[in-house]
Amino acid sequence: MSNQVKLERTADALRVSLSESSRLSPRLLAGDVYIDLRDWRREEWADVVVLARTAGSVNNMRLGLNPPEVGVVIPANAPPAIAAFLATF
Amino acid sequence: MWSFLLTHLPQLRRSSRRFDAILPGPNRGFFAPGGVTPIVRDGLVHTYRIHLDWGSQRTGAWRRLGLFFQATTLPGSIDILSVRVVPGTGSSHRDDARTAAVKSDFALFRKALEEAHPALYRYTTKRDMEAEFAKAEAKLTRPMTILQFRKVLAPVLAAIRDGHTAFASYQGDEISSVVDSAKQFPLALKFESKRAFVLLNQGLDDRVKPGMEVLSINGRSLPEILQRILPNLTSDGDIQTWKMYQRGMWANDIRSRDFFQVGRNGRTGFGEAYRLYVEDPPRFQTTVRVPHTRKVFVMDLAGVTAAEAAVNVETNPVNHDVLTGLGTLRIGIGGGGLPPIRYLDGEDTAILANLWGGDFPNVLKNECAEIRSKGTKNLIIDARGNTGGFDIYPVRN
Repeated sequence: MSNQVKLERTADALRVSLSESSRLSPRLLAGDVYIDLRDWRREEWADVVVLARTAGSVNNMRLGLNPPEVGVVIPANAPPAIAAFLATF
Repeated sequence: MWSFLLTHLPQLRRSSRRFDAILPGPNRGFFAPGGVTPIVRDGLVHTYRIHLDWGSQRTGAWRRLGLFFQATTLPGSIDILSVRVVPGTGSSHRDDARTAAVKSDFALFRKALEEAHPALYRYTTKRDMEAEFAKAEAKLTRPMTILQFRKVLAPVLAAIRDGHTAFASYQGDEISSVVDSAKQFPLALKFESKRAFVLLNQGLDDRVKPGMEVLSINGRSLPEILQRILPNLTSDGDIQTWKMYQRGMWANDIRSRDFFQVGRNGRTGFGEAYRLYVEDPPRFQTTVRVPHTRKVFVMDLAGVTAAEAAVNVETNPVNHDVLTGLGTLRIGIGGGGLPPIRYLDGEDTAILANLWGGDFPNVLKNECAEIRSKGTKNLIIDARGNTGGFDIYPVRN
């Protein structure tokens, strides 16, 4: 079953939406976004700090590290989310 | 705060095009699940600090960072305003940042309780709770490990005096990893009031036998040890027996349905609490008393990991009789192959034993019908070891 999310740029954020296509069970919707990295080592870092806002049903956020295999194909129509992620840098 | 990224991660700027690849993806794309945090859903911007330091099992190249979201029942969205990574060690500047992050976490902890707890001031006044929060916050003067931070939060949770507001799996259950790998106290204890008796020996030393009373550990008397532990434990109102009951439980099962498995699963409530709130020694100078002779011995006991404890409890011959006895006890419906009801005095008296688990409403209905059909005059309900139930049963029936 697909658990894709929809991404959208807003004025100040990257909006991640869980829709019916994200549904895993009658009571659970789930999906994720990711960033591919290069030459980082996990032990050099302590935390990931996320500034986020919601008034909806999204109630849980978890970190994941590393895919089973390296390499992703970036679709041509991928949203330019970097601006949102670096907005407060 | 953000400048560190520009300073320490020039590759980020050089290769920022790669960050265009913030893509939706299937969560199965990650094989190293990390920390987790609940989301505050009030429409305001909140800061979530999610821990990355799992220890040696998560070292190595970091090729992908993912954020995995969950929603219950209804579709929804979340706005991500920024994501940053905090370094693990380094300058005082970084320490300042980590201390600030700890304080931020504590603020979220307090805000969540104040906003969402339905009875935060039921047993403790608002003034006293605020004093507890302030006392804990005053300890946040340096960077902390998750374990250290947990110890700051524990007395605050305990002050609420709500047995259902307690630590569960935290940040991917890192606390469990710490406790399981520690050399824990090697005796599973059963408490009678504040006195502790050996239930099972989880070590290899066969001089310590079930039934012996533990008087002190590493120079601290048992009352002194409990004085350190108990203020960190939650229970409803002024109830103290629940705290003691749980020290004799298998620590992974707070509902304690598997009470009779204690020792066989390695972790015990007392061993975990000793590790968390007293000390983390490799060995335990333990004073024990033999009940029938009153003789007192001091034993030097080696600590055991949870895995070692689970093996030792089966192989140490001193446990044989206790394990055999435990195997005959009723555990839930049909526990030990026995029916949930038995009779005394012919069929004049029925004993209804613990009925937890299974199809409780139907089993209860059937057993009551049987009692009525036999004309049984007396009914004894044996609820020992039953730690609670579901509100839905009396409502539905």
